[in-house]
Amino acid sequence: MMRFLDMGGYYPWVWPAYAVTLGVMGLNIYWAMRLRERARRAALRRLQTQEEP
Amino acid sequence: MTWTWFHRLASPPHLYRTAGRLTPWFAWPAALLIIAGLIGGLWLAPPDYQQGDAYRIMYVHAPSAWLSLMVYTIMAVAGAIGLIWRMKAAHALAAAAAPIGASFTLATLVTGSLWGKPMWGTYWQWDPRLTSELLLFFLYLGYMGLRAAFEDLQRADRVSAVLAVVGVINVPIIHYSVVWWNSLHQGPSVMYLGKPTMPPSMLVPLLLMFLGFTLFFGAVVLVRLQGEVLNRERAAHWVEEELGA
Amino acid sequence: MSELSVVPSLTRPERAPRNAPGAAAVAWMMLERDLKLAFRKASQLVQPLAFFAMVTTLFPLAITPELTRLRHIASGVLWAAALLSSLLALEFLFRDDAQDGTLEQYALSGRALTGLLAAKTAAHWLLTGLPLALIAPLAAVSLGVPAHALPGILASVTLGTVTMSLLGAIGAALTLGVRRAGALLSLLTLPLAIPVLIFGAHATQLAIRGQPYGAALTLLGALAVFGMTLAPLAAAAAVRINLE
Repeated sequence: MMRFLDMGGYYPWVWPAYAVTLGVMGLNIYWAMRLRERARRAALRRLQTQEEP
Repeated sequence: MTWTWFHRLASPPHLYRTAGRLTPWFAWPAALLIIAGLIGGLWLAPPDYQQGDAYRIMYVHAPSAWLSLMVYTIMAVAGAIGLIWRMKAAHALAAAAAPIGASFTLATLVTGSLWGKPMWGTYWQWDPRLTSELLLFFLYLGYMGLRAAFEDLQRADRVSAVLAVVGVINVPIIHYSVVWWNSLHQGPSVMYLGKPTMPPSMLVPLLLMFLGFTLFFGAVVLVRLQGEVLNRERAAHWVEEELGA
Repeated sequence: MSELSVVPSLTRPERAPRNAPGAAAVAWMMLERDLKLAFRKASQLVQPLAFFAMVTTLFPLAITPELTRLRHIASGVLWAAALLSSLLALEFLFRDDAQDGTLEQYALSGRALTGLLAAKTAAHWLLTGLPLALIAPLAAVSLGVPAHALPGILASVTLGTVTMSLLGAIGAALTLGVRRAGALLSLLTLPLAIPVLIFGAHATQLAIRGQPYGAALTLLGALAVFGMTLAPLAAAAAVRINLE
């Protein structure tokens, strides 16, 4: 296990590279959900303001 | 050959529902492939005889680089379709794709420089591939900046589509000029990609990652596409139905 | 597909009347008009040149006054300064005409907007690019460049600024509807200008070393020709979208 984490001595570069990429993927998922959620809320608001007056 | 599927995709409610229905079909295979690629790339593949374990950065670097180029091309093609057929759906796709492409371009730059440190002894080298990637990042920034500069979504869509088309024509010229420039100043770069002698135990995880990243892009872009379609829709009946208001 | 014919943004509207002047004559009139207008505001012509001279002065002050060392970086200094100064006047390339409605008249005139924008771009190059190419050898001398390199510098900056004006026309057309477009315009234009920078600086470098620079000039010329064929089309498409 330690040998795996050590990455032949290259751990200071290998693990950050994976962390950055997976972080970017996570952020992409989060941003996409947020965009869709906001668009849904904005669309609902538009519908309500249209009906009431 | 019938074109009805194409026309139906252009209708916002159909597109919105199709995107929603397709998302899991991209997301789950993407998750499985990326996990398999991670296990294969980090654990099962043997260390490289020259680069040791440092070459494992390739498994995240190369697919990110692939996405950065693929997404820019998709953006430009979608933009051109949007301009020619006045298709809102295509513009929505381009808008949805841009931030994803930009973020993976940034990931490519960061992982490339992390790979460069043990290989070159420095985080940044004016290597033609990294330099082109940096310029591609600027192209993405310009595209998103232009989009953000317009209040009116329709106009932002069409103006940025023209930029994307101009940009995609320029990408190969920029790339070859950078390669040419580099060949004047230094020898070929140290990184290797797609070396023909790569054994299957190294190659298979790489292919899994390529496929996984591509499907991941598909899943994320579909979710964003739903949002972009809603933002371009002004209170139509189907929105009411869909959101159950 | 029948939809193919419905491309309002890219097609020209009505045809011009038969006895109207030809397209080339109209483009020529346009060019003359732009030059006349520009010479009324001479300060706007001089400012990019002063900026170019100022930037090339910064380097000896920032790095070293030794001409032998400056000579090594001269090509880079000249080209970076030339690219930056050619960005200065871009924002106003189409803006005045857009604001007073002139551009809209052109778009509706039945003439191909492409030709008119090409004429405006040519005027812009004559007013900013050509003067820049003419003073570039002067700036080069101040950086310790030997006299035998000056024709090469003149030729390469002349060709390079043509492409810069064309790229700038695209950028200016895209940002026509944006209020403070300065920084955005630079961000859009500079990455596209990288090949110009690379080939131009290389031609200059070879000229300074006394080596043949014909091949690099040919590449610069190819970029300019490529730009001439496509840039006015892209600019016209962008202007139409922004005028809608």
